[in-house]
Amino acid sequence: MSEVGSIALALGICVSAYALVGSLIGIRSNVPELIISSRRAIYMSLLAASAASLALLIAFMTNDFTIKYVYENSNTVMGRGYTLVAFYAANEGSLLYITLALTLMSTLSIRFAPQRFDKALPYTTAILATAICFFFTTMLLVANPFDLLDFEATDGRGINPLLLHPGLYSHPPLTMAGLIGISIPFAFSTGALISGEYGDDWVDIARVFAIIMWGLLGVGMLIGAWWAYTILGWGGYWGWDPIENVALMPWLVLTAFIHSIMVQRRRGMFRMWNIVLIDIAFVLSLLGVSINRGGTVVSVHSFAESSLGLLFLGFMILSLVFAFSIFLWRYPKLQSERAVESFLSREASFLVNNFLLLVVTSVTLWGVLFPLFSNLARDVDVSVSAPYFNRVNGPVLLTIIIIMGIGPLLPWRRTSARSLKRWLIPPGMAALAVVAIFMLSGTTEFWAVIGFAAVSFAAVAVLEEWWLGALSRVHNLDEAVPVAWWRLINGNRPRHGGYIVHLAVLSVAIGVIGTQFFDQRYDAAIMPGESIVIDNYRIQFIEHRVDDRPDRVAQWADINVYSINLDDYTVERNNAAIEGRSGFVVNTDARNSDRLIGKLAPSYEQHRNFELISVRSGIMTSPLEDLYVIPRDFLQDGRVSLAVSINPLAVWLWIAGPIFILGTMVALWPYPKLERATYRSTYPQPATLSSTTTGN
Amino acid sequence: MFRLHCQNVLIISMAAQIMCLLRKISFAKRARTSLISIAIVGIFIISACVSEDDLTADQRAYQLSQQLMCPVCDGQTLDQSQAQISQDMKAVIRDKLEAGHTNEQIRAYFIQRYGEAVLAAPDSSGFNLVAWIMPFIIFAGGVLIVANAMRRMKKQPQLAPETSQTDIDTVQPDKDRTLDDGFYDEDENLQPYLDRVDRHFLALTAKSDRGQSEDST
Repeated sequence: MSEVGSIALALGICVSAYALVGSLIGIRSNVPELIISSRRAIYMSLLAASAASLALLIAFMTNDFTIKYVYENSNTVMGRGYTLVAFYAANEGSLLYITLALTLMSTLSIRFAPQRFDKALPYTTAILATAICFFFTTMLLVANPFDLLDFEATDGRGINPLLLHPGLYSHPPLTMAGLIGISIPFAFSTGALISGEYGDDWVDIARVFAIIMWGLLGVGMLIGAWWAYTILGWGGYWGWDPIENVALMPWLVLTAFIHSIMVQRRRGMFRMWNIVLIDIAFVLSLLGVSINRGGTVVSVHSFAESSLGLLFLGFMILSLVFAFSIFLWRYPKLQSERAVESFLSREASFLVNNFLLLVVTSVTLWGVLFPLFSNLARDVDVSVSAPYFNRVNGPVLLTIIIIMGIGPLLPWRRTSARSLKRWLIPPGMAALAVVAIFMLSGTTEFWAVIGFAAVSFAAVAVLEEWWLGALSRVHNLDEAVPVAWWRLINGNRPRHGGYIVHLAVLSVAIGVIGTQFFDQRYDAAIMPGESIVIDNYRIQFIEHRVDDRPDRVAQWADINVYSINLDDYTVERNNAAIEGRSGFVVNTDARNSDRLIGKLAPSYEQHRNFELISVRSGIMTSPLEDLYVIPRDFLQDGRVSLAVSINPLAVWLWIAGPIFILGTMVALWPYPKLERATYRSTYPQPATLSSTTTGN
Repeated sequence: MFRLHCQNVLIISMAAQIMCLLRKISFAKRARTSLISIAIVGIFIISACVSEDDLTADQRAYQLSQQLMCPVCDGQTLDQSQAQISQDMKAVIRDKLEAGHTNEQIRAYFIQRYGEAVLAAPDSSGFNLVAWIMPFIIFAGGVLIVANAMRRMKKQPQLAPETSQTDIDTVQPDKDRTLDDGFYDEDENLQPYLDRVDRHFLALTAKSDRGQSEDST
């Protein structure tokens, strides 16, 4: 299989290099046949990548341990189902996967590019071919997944145990595909620029692919957070780790892009800006791929050290220079033919949204890079982690949520302050009501209250949109409310899909605020029979179970969870309060009013081959709060050391997932062909306009 | 805690300033808005100031364990880390809190032992101040760029003049929120017809322009 794979990689280099050279020569000397054949060469590169991937898969399936990559990431005991995960468990395989994703999406986008884009398409092909060629070459020369093992092995080392989680079937592939896929909108916008087609022809297809990548990345990150929450055993879902940040940053820029691309589509504005946005997103995605390229965490420091990291860094810098020199070259031609007329317009609110999203992105990038600067400037290591990002990004994210409540209420072009005020009444009332409720309940977490108020403000704004829109249909067309609502959504799917996504974002915000501000935590070591009491839960340790296997030792703590009546524990609670404890341990029997509400079996596994510990937390979920139990250690004397926390509203983080997918699908759902023809960008293209101006 | 609020004072008053700048509001009004925004944030600070004494020992220990990094793990704070050393460090935190040390003293103790990298966020002194100031510079730079872009766009001649201001003002929003959001968002259902008109119009102008440009070349 090794030879087959390497040959496929070499073929990949050939066809993509041919596509690059062919399309450039074709367009220069005007040979349409050459252009078409280089387009087909891109399709061939998909074939080459598929062949290589298939070869690697077969090698995994047949336990071909002569191949180093298979040896390092699989063994005979591994469930065959995890072959797919093993495929991208380390650098070489993930590169192959990335190449496969890139060639697949290039093929699709080139195949389905609109006819009117024909003039620019060869350049797009050339750009995509360059990227594909880079990945094939990197694999063949620097990180070949088909390298042979230099000794005989009867069994492999096995897959990294942290990767054995259902979330891992989807998290890495979605994130990697989303990151590399940003090349597609980038190639289309830059192709249009080079060819001198300054029009908005690239907008439709770039928008579609940008939303797809944005959706993939978004879902990928959510699943990653879920994986961290349930298996990484650190009790959190988002740590502002470099590897998370590099996925978040392009996502944020894409968010800005898919908003402002609507302005270009509807109003022919922000032409330069959109190109800048997609350029930034592309460069950040390459940064993401270079940090993400390995299966496991790679810190900022190491990525400049390995040769692969340097290679990616070089490619990223070249792309940066390329993207922005093309932009500056064409800059004078990219004028909008309209201006933002008023600050009270949807255009302006998109501008503010873009600005805030880019602030979060740049600040995050700065946080990621600061340790490097510190190291260079004064040779001192510093850490930049969650506390930093929460402080600097928190306020901006809060503002974004507030803007989310105002933006949808603003019409295109302009409105009067009076009518805006009128529309802001229901969301404003909702926000005030939330503040009042929290004030009455005696919450001291001021920012949390502001956060919840902002969330309800934005949510009611969306509901108000739907309600008034549906109501006008009810009045005018005599439709039933649900029908009216459905038709309203159907009438403008990009917009209403966007609103659904807004609700998903708000759901995430609820989860974040709840877990950040109201979490409770108590750590203690208890004997079987003893219980930890926190808030109104009693967690009783029943039994310690051990399962000793050749590759790992798994231990479970069987736990019963009781809901208690706080009055039964007044004495203990008072003692704990005096000592400043957040919870306490009881060893007596249950009080009368204790009620068993569930059983948990969090596990703690030591993996021999990896000297690694993986933890599966015990989680009891309700819409209001998660009870979250992490086994920290099983002690010699029979005690188990537990970290128990209460994570309020955590489940809303995961509820957001399906809503997000739904909204993205609605926004993407294509209109039938006939409708599409008329739906297309309405406004005069600058090409025609410039001829008008020069003509005069 | 305090630094957090200072940041917000700045951000909110800056946001107020942009709004004023963009809407060409007089200086007096601008000053008033900034004052109001600063006052609001002032109330925030007072109401949200939680001192160390208000928290229980466990809460303070938990907070500290979120602010300190595990020295041997990859990017995990003490409260997240599974490593033995983190459990030991947390025990040290508890002991020191019980001995009456302040959070600052405890942080200083760990910096001395493990170096600055033990802090999850750089402190705001010396070179590390750069880490905290940069976000403001980014924000301010962004504000300048956006304000500048808005102003430049406003100066540009309108190539495609549309409905005049008076049309908008005379429209009653509620009456006009008709069937398909008429005024409210350019009519979705009318779009095809508008498109057709646009195309006809373009075809006409393009034809006449082509004639002209051929003349001029």
